[in-house]
Amino acid sequence: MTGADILLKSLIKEKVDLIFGYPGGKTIALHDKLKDYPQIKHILPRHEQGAAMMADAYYRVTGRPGVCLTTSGPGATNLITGVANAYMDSVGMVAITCQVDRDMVGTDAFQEVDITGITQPIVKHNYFVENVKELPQTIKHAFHLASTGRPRPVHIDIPGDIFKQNLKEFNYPQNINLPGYQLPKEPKQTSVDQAVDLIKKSARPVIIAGHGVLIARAWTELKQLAETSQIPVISTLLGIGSLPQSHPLCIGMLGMHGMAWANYAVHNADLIIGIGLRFDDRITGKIDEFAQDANVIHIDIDPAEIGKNTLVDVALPGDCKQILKRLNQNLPAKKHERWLAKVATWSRDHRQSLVKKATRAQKTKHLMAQDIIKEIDKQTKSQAVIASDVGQNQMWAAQFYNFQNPNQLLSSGGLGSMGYGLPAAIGAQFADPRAQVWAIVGDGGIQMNIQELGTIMEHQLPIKIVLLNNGYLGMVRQWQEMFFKKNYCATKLVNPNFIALAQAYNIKAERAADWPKAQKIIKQAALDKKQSFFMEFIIGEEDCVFPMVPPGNNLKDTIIKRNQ
Amino acid sequence: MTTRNQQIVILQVQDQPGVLSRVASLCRRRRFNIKSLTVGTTHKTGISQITMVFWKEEARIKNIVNQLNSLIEVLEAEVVHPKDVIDKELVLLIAKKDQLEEYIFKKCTVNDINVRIINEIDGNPVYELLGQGGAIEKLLQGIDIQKNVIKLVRSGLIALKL
Repeated sequence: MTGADILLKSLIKEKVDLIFGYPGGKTIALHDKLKDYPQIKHILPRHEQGAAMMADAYYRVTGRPGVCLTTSGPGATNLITGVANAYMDSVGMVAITCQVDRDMVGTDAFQEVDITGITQPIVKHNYFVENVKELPQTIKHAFHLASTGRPRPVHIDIPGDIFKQNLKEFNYPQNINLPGYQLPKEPKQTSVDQAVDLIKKSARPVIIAGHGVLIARAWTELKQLAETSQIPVISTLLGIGSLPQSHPLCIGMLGMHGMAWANYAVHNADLIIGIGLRFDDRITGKIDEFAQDANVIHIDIDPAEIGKNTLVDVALPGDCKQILKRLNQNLPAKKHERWLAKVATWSRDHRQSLVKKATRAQKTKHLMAQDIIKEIDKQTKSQAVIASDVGQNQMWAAQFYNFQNPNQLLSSGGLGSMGYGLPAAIGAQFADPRAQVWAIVGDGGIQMNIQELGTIMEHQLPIKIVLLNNGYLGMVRQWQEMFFKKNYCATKLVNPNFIALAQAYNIKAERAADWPKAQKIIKQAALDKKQSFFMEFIIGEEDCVFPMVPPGNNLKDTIIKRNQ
Repeated sequence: MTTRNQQIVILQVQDQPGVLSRVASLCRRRRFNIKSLTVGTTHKTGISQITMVFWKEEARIKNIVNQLNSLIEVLEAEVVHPKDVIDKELVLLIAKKDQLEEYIFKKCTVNDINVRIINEIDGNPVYELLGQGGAIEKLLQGIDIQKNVIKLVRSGLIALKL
C-alpha cells in the first residue's frame, strides 16, 4: 500500500466526502489513486484560492472541516488568502499541500516553497510529514484540531515521495496525543453565579451574538436565554442567523455598518452579554469609548479572546452551548419592557427604508441594491443561502436580507477578502446540493475569482449570481467620498461585458437597469431550481452604505444619512 | 527578583522541530517585545523549557500568556512571580584595563553574584558573572558601557520554578 492510499484511507476514516483540489507535479501520484476511492468526490476549482474558499463554505454549511489540496510551490501559495480567511473567521479546514521530495527540501528545488513557514501565523497548527508512518496520526490530529475547540484551519505539508513510500498495513489510530492542546474546562460555578447576578440586576441588557453561537450550534439555547430574560439580541456580521430576523427580540447587526438602533442599544446598555465573538474594531468602534456604562459578560471558547480587546467583568471561557445551558438553568424569567420600548423607538426613528432613501446619491431613478436584496428576500421566502462578497454588496446583503436560519449568510468577516462570494457559493452548493444558493457580489469582487464560473459550468450548479454593478470598487469609493474629498483614485473600474462573459461559460445571463426587468429576472431565478442564472444589476455609481460609524468613532456617532 | 520593568514567562514545550519558531513568530506578529529568550532541555524527556523575559506590559501580559498557551506544542505558559523562581543569568564581559575591577567585585559581594576573571586579552580582564537576573541588571546599569567595556554578551535569563 502506498502513501497515497494511506492518505486517502485516512481521509475516508474522517468521513471526508469531498476534496477541493488542484493537481500539480507533486500530486500526480495521489490523484492517480483517487479512482480507487469512489467515496471521495474530487472537485477541481479554477484557482487554488477557490479551493480554500469552497472548503471554507463547506464547513460553514455542514459543520465539518472542508478539505482542500494543492501541489507544492505556487499551488500552495495560492491557497493562502483562503486559509487566512478561514483562520480569521474560525472556520474548520484541513489544507493539504504537497511538497517537493524529502531529499530536495531545502535546496530551492523547482516549485519548492517553505509553505509551513508561510502558513504558521494563519493556522491553528501545521505539520510537515517526515515519513509515511506518521501520516495516519497526523491526519487524525489535524481533523481533531480543526473541528474541536475554536475551529480553525490546520495545514499538512506532504513531500511528494511519501505518496510512493510503501507501508504494509493501514492502521488508523484511535487516540489523540496532543498534550499541549486542552479544551477549556467547565467554567467555575462562582463565575456562572456572578453572570446570573449581573443579568438579574441589569435594567438595560443586550446580547451580542457572534459566529461562536453558530459554530457551537447554540441557537436554541440563545433563544431561550433571550426569551426568558427578555433581552434584545444583536448580532455581529457572522452571528447573523443565530436568532431569526423575524423574532421580536432580534434587533439586527451592529457595528460599522450595523443598524443604528443596534449601535445605540449597545452604547446605552448597562450589561453586554457577548457570546462567541471577539469584540473586534468593526463592531466596537473606538474601543476606549465602547459601551462605557456596561458590565461585560464574555462567553468564548478561546480564552485568549477574553479580555483581549475589551475589559471583561465576568469571563466565561468554554463552549457557548454548554455555558448558555448553565445560565438558562439558573435564570428566572424577567421583563425589560421600558428598555425594549426604548430600543423600539430608536428602531422606528431610523428605519431601514428611511436610511435607504437617504443613501440615494443621484436624482436619477437608478436601481438600488437595497431594493434588489429585498426582492431576492421576498422571492426566495427568506430561505436562500446567501454567499456575499466583500464591500458594499456584503453590507447590503447583511442589512436587507431577512435571514431566518443559522449559517444562512456566508461572508468573509475578519479578513474581508474580496473574491470570496463566488467560490463560497460553490462550496455551499456542494455541501448542500438541495439548498438554493445565491451569490451576491460586486463588479470588483467577482473579477477576483471570476474563473470559478468554469466550476459552475462544469458541474451545472444551480447557483444564482447577483452582480451589483456600480462601476466602482464601491466601498473604497465611499470612503474616498466621505474622507478623501472624492478623490476617486484607482476605484473606477473599466469592466468587461459581464453578460457575454457569463454566456461564454454557458451560463444563462441577463442584465437589468430598471425595476420591472430587475423584478422579473429575480422572480425567474427564484423559480428556476435547475440551472445557474447570472443577473447583472446596474446600480447607482455613488450610492453609499448607511448607517456608518466612521472608523475610530464611537457607536453613538453612527451616521444615518449622507451629508449633502 | 527581576527589576521592576520586566516580567518572566516560563513555557514548557514539546521538544519538536519548529517549536521555537512558532513561539518567536507569535511574539513578532502580535508585537510582544521580548527582552530575552532562552531554551533548553529539562529533566523530563521530550520537554524543553523556554524562559522569556518581556518588557513589562501590564495590560498585555495576560494576553501574551493566553496567546502562547494557544500554541499546540506549548504545554503550559505562565507568568511567574519572582519569589516563586530561582533565576540566573550569565554575563561575559571584557573590561578595559584597571577600570571596573573595584566596582565589579564590590557589587558582586553585595549582590551575591559569582564573579571570576577567566582570561585576559591584551591586558584587559575577561569577567564571568553569574547571578540572579535582577542583580545582574543592577550591576550592569552602574557601568558606563561606552567608556569602560570592550565587549559584553549575556546569556539571557533561565528560571527554575520552585
